[in-house]
Amino acid sequence: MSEGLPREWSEVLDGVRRVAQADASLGETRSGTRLDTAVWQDLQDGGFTLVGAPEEAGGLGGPQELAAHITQVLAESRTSVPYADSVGLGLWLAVQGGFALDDAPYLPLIDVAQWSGSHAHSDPAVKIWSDAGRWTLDGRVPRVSWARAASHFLLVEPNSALLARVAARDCVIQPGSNLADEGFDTVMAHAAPVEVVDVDVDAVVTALLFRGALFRANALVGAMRQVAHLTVDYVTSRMQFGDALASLGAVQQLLAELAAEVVVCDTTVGAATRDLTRSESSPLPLDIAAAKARASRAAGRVSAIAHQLHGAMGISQEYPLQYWTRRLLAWRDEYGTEQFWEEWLGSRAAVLPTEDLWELVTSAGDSWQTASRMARARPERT
Amino acid sequence: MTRNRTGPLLRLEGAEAARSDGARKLAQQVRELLDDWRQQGLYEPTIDGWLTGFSEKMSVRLGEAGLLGMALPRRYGGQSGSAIDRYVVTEELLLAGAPVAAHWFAERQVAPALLRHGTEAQRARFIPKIVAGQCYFSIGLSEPEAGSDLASVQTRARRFGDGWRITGTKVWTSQAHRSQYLLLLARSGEPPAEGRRGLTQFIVPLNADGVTVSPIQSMDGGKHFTEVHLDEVYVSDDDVVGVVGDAWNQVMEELTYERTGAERMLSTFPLLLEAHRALDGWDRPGPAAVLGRLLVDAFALRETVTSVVAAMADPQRSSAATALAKDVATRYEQRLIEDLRDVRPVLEELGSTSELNRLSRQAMLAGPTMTLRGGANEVLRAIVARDLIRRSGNKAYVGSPK
Repeated sequence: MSEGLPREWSEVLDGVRRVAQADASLGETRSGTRLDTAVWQDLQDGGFTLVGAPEEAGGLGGPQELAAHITQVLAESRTSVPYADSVGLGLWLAVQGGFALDDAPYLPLIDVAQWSGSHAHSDPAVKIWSDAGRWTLDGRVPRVSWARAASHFLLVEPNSALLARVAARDCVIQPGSNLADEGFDTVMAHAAPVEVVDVDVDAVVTALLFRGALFRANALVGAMRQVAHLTVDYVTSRMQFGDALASLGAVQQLLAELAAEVVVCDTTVGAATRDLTRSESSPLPLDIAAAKARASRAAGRVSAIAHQLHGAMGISQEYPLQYWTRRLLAWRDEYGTEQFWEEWLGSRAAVLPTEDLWELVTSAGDSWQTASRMARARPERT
Repeated sequence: MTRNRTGPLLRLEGAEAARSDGARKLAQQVRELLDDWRQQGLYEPTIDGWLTGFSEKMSVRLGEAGLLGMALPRRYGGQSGSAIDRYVVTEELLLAGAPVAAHWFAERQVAPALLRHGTEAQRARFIPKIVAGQCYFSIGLSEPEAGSDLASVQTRARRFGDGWRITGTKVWTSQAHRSQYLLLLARSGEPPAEGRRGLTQFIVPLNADGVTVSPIQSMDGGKHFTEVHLDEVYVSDDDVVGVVGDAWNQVMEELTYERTGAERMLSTFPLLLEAHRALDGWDRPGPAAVLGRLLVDAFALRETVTSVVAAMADPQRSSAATALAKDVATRYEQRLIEDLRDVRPVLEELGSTSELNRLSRQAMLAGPTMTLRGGANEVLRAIVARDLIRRSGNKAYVGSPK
């Protein structure tokens, strides 16, 4: 993935890898949810968590795309930190609202699983209201990714068309975890003071969903690559029946299928990520929908093949594979499952004239612009 | 224990050219031309138009429109464009289901082979006519005992005066009963070498003495494939392509051109387009998800295949990448047929579905060939796996596949 990137980016990514690999707990068998605070601090100290925010706003500058690549590198590594949501989303929201970047880490106050259809969720009940000019927040939002790491939360309140900022210390955070033992916390606020700014609510909410999907898609690709490397290593070293497992034709068939999934996702997510940079204020959602759909769909197959080829070893907590396959199983459901995005894309393709259908695939032409306009309508929740 | 390596499994570069304004304009031009021709009744859309739709008239017409030889040098009548330019034109031809089989093999792989390995005389003799849509080649590779295992070909070429006499049998040779020439792989070593060594490629006129072509009727009722018998067929030294005895490398290169075409993913797309046109209710959740998934996969595969095409400046390097692309693309175009069958019962007909039924039937009966032609997918997956294994550097793996 580093091939073909500008040298400065490669240097940044190498820096990220060094920080991630300095994690002292790498060799330990881990259980339970734990944020790698030392690595997270090092990433913040090194400025990596300000990538993509304009320098005028106090950021490090650089394209959004680089933050997505960093997400991928971190996902491929062992370390567990809230980079994607705090930089891909939180930082971006803070810039939209003109909030001080010194008050990071920012996290979006959203239920990241609400587009999965698999959680019995109710619409997160969040209200902000003004009493003599003082804005206050009441509400409860479950499944906020790594909420415990936030300094501030940012949320969009649709009825008032406002972007609101609330301090984490003014909320109650109930820890939870997803399948990958990452923070999946419930945030509760009661009469918490907030600062508000006006925003184009529809645009911001749409952008949030798509950015979330794109950053998760990048994370999925990173995890997939590690799973693929572990699997190739395993089948070429593990001996049975007098030869490495890799000598079995059936093993080779599955290995090739796994590789195909990873390569297709890598390429597809890469294409969508490049588009994020090219149109920073209005990411092209169709690319992103396709990228997240494809990565989410691949995640299950990649995980299944990897476990099948690893045999019993793969399910042991001591062996590293499950650390990354659980990431695949968790992330595929966050910011939209493949079913959500396939239906999203298909329902828009359904109402286009047939002559314009191919242009959705090539991301070209007037129908693309039409579909993009349609896409900017408030996304429906499942 | 395990090494923690980062980096891509296979090297692929982006093919942003395929999504550029230039590509879009080119595609639009071709689309308008084909729409025009279709409305004039000059052709009927088919599945697999690139394989079964043999129409000299269409090929000549495309040649006259300057749409063949997009990536071939202007010196020989081509457009001196990029591989992506050619790719974009072929996409439109495939989406339209146009009958392009006559020139397809010549333009896709014979012309590039002549450019890379042929003599100047061969290039001057064949490429301008290929670009004009007037030169039709079949590819003589597989034999009754050599399908996926091309290294075991037995067709024999023996020196005879200033040329060669060739005897043997080729099978599954597409359109040899309609083409003018055969690009043939034969064993030329004296004494004959084993395996990949001592192979030579020859250009054999299909009307030469000693050539007998017998069409094979397919399960779809058509005759697209043939058996070609050669009985002491004489060719001169001028008909040798490349280096005598070194054809294996040449053939492997040609296969990379074969495997990375848009025809690997779009053979059945005309069926999806017609289903979208002729049926109603695609906006319901179930059908929308099916449609969405097919479009997601098309997007992902197009990105993957164009990346491989863009990286193919050196065809020697990309054998595993092209094998991977062909496997995953053909699984998609085959699966599309079944997905549409699954969803059809919940959709309503918008007027006549005779066109949809015609294309469905063609697709259903052509389906089995998609994961076989151009290399059986299982064999291609073995190529991918061996590449991964080799690059892993782990020494434990010793055996050949069981």
